[in-house]
Amino acid sequence: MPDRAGEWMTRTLSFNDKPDDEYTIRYRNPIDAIKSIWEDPANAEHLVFSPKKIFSDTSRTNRIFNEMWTGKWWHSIQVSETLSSHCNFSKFVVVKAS
Amino acid sequence: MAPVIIATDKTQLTQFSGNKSAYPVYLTVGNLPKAVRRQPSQNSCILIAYLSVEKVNRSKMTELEHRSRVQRIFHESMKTILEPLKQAGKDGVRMKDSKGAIRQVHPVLSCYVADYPEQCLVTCTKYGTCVKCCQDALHLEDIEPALPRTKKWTINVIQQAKNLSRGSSVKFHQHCMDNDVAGGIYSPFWQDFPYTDIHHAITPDVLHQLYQGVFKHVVEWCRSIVGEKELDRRIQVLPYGYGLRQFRKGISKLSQISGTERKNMAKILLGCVHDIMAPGGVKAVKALLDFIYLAQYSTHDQITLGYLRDSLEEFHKYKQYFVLVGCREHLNIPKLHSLIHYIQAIELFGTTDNYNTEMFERLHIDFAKQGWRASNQRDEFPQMITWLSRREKLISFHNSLHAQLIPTQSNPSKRVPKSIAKYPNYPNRSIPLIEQLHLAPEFRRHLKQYLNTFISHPLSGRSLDQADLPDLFTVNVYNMFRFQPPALQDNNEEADTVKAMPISRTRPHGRFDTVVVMDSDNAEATGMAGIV
Repeated sequence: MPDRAGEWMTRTLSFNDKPDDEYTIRYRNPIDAIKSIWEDPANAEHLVFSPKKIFSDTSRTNRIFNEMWTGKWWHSIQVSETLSSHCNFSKFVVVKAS
Repeated sequence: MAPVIIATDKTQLTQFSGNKSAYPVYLTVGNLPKAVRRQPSQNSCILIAYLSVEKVNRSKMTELEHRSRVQRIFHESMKTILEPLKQAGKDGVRMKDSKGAIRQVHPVLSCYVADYPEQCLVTCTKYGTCVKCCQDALHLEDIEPALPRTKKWTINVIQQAKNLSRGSSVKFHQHCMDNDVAGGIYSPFWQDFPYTDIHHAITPDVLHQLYQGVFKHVVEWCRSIVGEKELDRRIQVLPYGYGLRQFRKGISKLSQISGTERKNMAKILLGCVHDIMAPGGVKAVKALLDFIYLAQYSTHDQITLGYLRDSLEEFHKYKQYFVLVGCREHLNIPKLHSLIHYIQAIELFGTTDNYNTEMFERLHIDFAKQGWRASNQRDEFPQMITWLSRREKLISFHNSLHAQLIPTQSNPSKRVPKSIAKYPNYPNRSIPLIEQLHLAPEFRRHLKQYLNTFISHPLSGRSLDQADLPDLFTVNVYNMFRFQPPALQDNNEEADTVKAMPISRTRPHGRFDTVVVMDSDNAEATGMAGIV
C-alpha cells in the first residue's frame, strides 16, 4: 500500500566549520500532504475552494468573519491573481469569487 | 488556492526522566472548515516533518555564535522541507479533489502557528520586540501599532547588514539587532515564497498570549494588590456554581498552571477583586477579560469587532493603574502589545479558532507521543515515522471504506430537551419545609398564582390572596434537571445540568444554580437586554 502522504526523506545538515556536528531532519513533501487531504473521501463534503464575502444582511455593509475563506487575505490573493494575466487559476474560481 | 497552515512546536516526549524531545512540523489547509480540522481522528492535519533535536555543541563557540547556529539550523531545515511550496505556489499543481475532479491548485503559505519565541525565530525578529510591527521595545505599551514589518523590510535589513559587515558575523549580528532583527540568519526560509508575507502569517495565539500571557500577569498583579492570603481566601469561599471549578486550596500554591486552570481562574477573578481594587483597576481587569472572551468568538462581524476594539481601548485607558500601584514599572510586554494586532488577523484569516495552538498541542499527544510510546525508545525517529505512516494508511482505508460501502447516513440523535430523574429526590414535601430548606420564600404564593392560570375562571387580585391551598398539599421535589440547549457551534453537542440542592448538614447553604431564561427573541448577543 503506498504511503498516504508521501514518502519520508532524511537529510543531514552540517556546517563548514564543524563538519562532524550533524543535524538530521526527517520530512516529506508538503505537496503530497496537501494532496492527501484533498483526496480524502471523508473531506469530500467539506472542502471549500474559493473565498467568500459574507454579510449579515442584503445591504452588504456588515461583513462577517469566521472560517478562513471569509477572511480578506484569501480574497485578496485569489481574486487579484485571477485577474492578472500571467496566472492560471481555474476558471470556476473567477465566476464564484466575483 | 490552498491556504497552507503550518505549525511548529517543540515538545517533550518523556514525562519525568530522560531528555527526549521532538520538534514536529504540522500542515493543514484552510479549505477545510475549522470544525473538521479540529478533529484529530479525521487526519486533516498532517505531520510533515521532524526537525532536528540534536543539541548544538557549544565547545569553541561564543554564546552569540551558538544562538546564530540554532537559528540557521531552523531556517535551513524549513527551507528544505517547504521548498516544493515555492514552485507550486507560483505555477500551481494538478490535484485530484475528493470527488475525483482535477483542479489546478496553488498552495500558498497563509498562517504560521507558533508560540512567541518561535514566532521571533520564524520571522527573524529580535526577541522582545513585536513580530508584526516595528514598534521598539520601549513603546510596546502604546495602543497604536508602528509601521508594519514586511517581508521586504526584513530582507532589506539583512541585505544591508550583509553589505556592511563584509563577512564579519559579529558586525552582521550587530547591525541586525540595532534594527530589531534577529542576527543569525542570512537567508530566511520564506524569502522566495510567493504571495506570503511571513509577518502577516503569524497569527494570534489565544492560549499563550491571552491566558498564559496577559492574564497570567493580571493575576499576579491582582495578587500583589489584594494580598496572596486574602485572594486565596476569597477564592476558597466561593459557592458552587455551574461550570465553575472549585480551587479548594486557593491559587497561590498551584505550580505549573495549565491552560484549563487559567480559564477557570478567568471566570472567577473579577468577582474576587472588585471591592478591593480601585475602580480604575477593576475596569482594566474587566476590559481585559472582555477582550479575552470576545477574541474567542467563533464568528465576528463589524459590530462585534467594534466591541473588541472598545474593550482594548478601555483597557489601555485604565492600564496605568497597575504602574501607579507599583505592580510594574512599565507595561512594555510583547504579549500585551500583541493584542492590538488581533482585529487585523481576524479580518484577514477568520476568527482565532482557525489557528489556535491548542489544536496542534492536542496533535502532539496523537502523533508524537503515541508514536514514541510505540517505539522501543532507541533511535526512535525512524520507528515513529513508520508508526505514523501505518496509522495514516489505516485511517485512509477506513475512510474510503466508509465512503464506498456505507451510504451517507444522517441520524440526528433524538435529543430530549429537558429531563429529570425517574423518582423525585424528596417526594411529598410540605410547603413550609420547601420554603425553609429550599430557600424559596413566598413559594406558596407563587405556586398559587401558577395554579391559578390553569383554572377556567381565574381568580383575580384579592380573592386570590385570600384563597388557600389545602393543608395537606405536598409537592414532589427534584434537586436537578438536565437540558440540552441548542449548540452554539456545529458538531458540538452541549448538555447542561442545573442543580438546586436544599440545605443539609453537609451543605449548610445548599446549592442553587442561576438560570437565565430568555422570554423574548430580542436578546442581544453580548448583553442581558430582553432576558428575564
